[in-house]
Amino acid sequence: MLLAVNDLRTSFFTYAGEVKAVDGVSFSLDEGEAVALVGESGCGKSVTALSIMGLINPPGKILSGSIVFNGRDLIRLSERELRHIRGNEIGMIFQDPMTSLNPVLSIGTQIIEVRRLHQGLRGRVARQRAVELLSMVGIPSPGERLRQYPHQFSGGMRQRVMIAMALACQPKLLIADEPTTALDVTIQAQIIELMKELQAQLGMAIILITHDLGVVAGLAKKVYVMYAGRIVESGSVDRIYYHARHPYTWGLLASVPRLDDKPKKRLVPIQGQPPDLLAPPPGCAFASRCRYAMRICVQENPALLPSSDDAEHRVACWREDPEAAAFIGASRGGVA
Amino acid sequence: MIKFLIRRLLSMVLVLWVIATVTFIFMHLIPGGPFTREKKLPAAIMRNIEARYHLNDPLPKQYLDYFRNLLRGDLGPSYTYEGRTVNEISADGFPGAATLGLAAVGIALLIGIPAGIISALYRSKWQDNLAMLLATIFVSVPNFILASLLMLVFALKLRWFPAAMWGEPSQIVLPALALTGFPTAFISRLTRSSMVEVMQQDYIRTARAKGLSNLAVVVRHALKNSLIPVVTYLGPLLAGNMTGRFLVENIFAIPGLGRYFVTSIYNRDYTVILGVTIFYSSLLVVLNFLVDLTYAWIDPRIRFTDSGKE
Amino acid sequence: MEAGTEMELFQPLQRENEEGYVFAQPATTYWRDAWRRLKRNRAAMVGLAVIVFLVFLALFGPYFCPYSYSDQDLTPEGINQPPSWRHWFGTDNLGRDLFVRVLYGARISLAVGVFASLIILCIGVIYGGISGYLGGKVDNIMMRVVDVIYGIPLVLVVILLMVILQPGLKNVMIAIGATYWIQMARIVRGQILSLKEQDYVMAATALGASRRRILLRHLIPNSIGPIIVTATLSIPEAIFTEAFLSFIGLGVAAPMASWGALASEGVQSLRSYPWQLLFPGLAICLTMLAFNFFGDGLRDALDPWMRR
Ligand SMILES: Nc1ncnc2c1ncn2[C@@H]1O[C@H](COP(=O)(O)OP(=O)(O)O)[C@@H](O)[C@H]1O
Ligand SMILES: [Mg+2]
Repeated sequence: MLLAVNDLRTSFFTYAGEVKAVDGVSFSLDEGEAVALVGESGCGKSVTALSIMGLINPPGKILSGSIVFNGRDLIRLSERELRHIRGNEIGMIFQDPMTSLNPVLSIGTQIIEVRRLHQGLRGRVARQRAVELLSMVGIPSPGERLRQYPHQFSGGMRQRVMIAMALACQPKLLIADEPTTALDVTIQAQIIELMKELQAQLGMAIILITHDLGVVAGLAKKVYVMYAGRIVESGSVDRIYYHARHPYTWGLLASVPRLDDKPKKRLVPIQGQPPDLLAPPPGCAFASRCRYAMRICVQENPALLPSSDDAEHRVACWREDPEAAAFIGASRGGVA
Repeated sequence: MIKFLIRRLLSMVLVLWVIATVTFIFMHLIPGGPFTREKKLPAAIMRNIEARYHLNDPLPKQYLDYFRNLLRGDLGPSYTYEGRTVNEISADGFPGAATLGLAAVGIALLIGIPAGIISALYRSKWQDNLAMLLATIFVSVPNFILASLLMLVFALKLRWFPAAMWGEPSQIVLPALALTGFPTAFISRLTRSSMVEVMQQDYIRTARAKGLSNLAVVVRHALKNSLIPVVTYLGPLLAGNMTGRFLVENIFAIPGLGRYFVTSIYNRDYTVILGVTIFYSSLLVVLNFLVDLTYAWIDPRIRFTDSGKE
Repeated sequence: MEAGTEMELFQPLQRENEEGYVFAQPATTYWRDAWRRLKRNRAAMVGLAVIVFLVFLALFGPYFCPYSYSDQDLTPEGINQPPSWRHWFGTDNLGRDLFVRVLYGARISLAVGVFASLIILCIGVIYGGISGYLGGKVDNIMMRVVDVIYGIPLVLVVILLMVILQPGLKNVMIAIGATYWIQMARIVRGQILSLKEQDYVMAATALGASRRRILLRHLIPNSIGPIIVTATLSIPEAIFTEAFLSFIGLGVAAPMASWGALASEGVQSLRSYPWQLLFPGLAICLTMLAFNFFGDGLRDALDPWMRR
């Protein structure tokens, strides 16, 4: 096992009170495995990723849990030890390639910096290596591009640069936080394709974070669906795509365009707003938006339990409870 | 880049032309003149004087003459300093003013930038609170008050520094300190706020995700960006420092341009007032231009706007 | 259907009559939020208290003093007296009570600060509002004008205006107001430009709201925070400029004395009667400090980026 996140809780202590951004998240992945963390924006995906990287700043704080990477609990490491892991053993790329690169430093400087830091590589060798990295991520005439600045690149190209930077030290784990969200649809596909190729080539594990279930299929084998700081459903890509059990997952699926859709089919966004994490309602956080909500849903939070027909497929929903069966009857719905 | 330079130069010329024209119109809007103040002079003498200063010519001709002279760099004669030209007065007063101004802004940069950075990095800690308290105090103390107080305490009471007499190095200390209060405070606040903003940028997170230490993140990734606003304000700051310079030069009896300026206001010596206005405006325009160049040097987005591809 | 309590839990939720289950977040409005933050800022509250105190003193103080600002006492025991119980701040070279004169100075300074800042507010909001709202060519030209004015040291503009207008309280306000609106105009324009892109303005446009209405009902109210902050912070700037003008003899005419004029007189006799500078000087510093603290606090409280 490469990474095991166990009951992670991260909160932000703001003016208005405690924001429980991540509230008891557990998941794990093996070496070379790719998983996806999916959910609407604001549900705590980035905070989870940043917690793993040890990049939570005040007023944020990791309250409890463990993040075991390669046998070491990252939460207990010193800042020095963490710095050695960041960028070296775990690489990360971010949502907005427009703002994630430093506008006043050349691309070359920013790429070389990583290698110099972790491997002491400088001068011609470092440049040569940077050129290789750029061509590896599919940037044409890399030697020339090295001297240019971020604003001279298009969005997709910048994201390629980000990937090159994250992979500079051949990390064991790559965290990609919404790597395609800010990009055009065609570019999105290219970036996902690139990540897939690179994974085959370099064999790193990937945590793909996205709010778009549509981009998951090509890359990840396993999906974790997050809502309001918790994981509400997890399972193999197949299970999630074709046998989802949680009404929230249905909502996410309904908002994704599919290739096999009839052209005129309408995409349905999920009704309502995600809950305020400052004052989370008791019970299931999704209840207020859920068409199938029952009384118990607003009173008690459902636990994440294996589903009846697949132990790998876990769901946190009261509808799974045997007692609910009587009331659900024919109302079973889904992506109608 | 070339296009950028040409555009900037053209707009500089335009700005200076507008300023010169407006000041010229101002000069002729003002009721009366330097010679029509107290007692009325005999008509013959009055005519004589006006003829000497070409005040009887039709306005358009005066305007053209004024401009022709201006283009040659001639700001005209002083009305009250008999036989002296505004150019001589400026040349006389500029070195003092410049020394003082540069010393003050130099000190301000040396203290203000580090103070601002420390403040930003220790946001809301005591270091920040202390620095920002001091900054607000120094922003709030007008420099002529500060100058008077420094003079009272260090020159008159303690006698550590001479109260007047320009020329000795020790004499520059008090007026420079008096002038440096505001810019130091201002620069530290500016640095702090832009540093705080830069530290929240996505690329800082990227830098930290690379495993850089806090110090390296600040020095390599944040410093350059966060100094952009400081650089931008340097031009106006140097010029704005002038407010203080007028009075501080007056208080410390330094023969700087500001002192002549204040005197010429008392005397309604319009050519000097306007000449100094034009002089300082040109200075500000040139400074702003230099600032823009620096800015372009720091920020490649500006450097390449014209030639770079998107 | 068995009516066990355990089973009822699994009945569908009826939203209409179980409204209480749907949790709305406590609605703290922008202003209440801002006020709460302001109240927590100790420096800002001290600043506010000092401002209130100063206004009170300026309005009513002179009525409780046995002297008027022009009462002279030219006897040797009357002139240039150091502070005492009779004359809290001492007397000047005409034997006038400095305490009363400083109180009157407060009237002038505060009046100049407030009214000049009102003029700045009007010109800046109108100019910046029009420029930002109309955009395009008009905006371009209007901003060029601003650039030109920005190219002239503003102090010089004020001085030139004062030379033309002649000294006097009203003219000081006008000269300052007519000069220092640039910053306000820029801020209003910037705000409007960014707000214009936002959904609700587009929605209003799509619904056919008139330009005037959009400007007045949507754009200006939503940029009110930065406007208030800028206006507040322009008060100490105006007070300082007035003091500066009076110091060089271009401010408010004698025998009324603004703090700047008092300080200017004080400097002449710094060596022998330092209190003549000290008290008006401290008054200026205190007032500017109070407004700056308050204005900074306001900015922190109203700044939407700080929200969270
Ligand atoms: N620096 C912060 N201060 C306060 N709250 C934060 C901060 N960063 C994130 N949050 C809160 O944490 C929650 C989760 O955010 P995030 O992980 O960024 O969501 P996403 O799933 O879109 O990546 C959000 O409700 C957000 O408001
Ligand atoms: Mg995110």
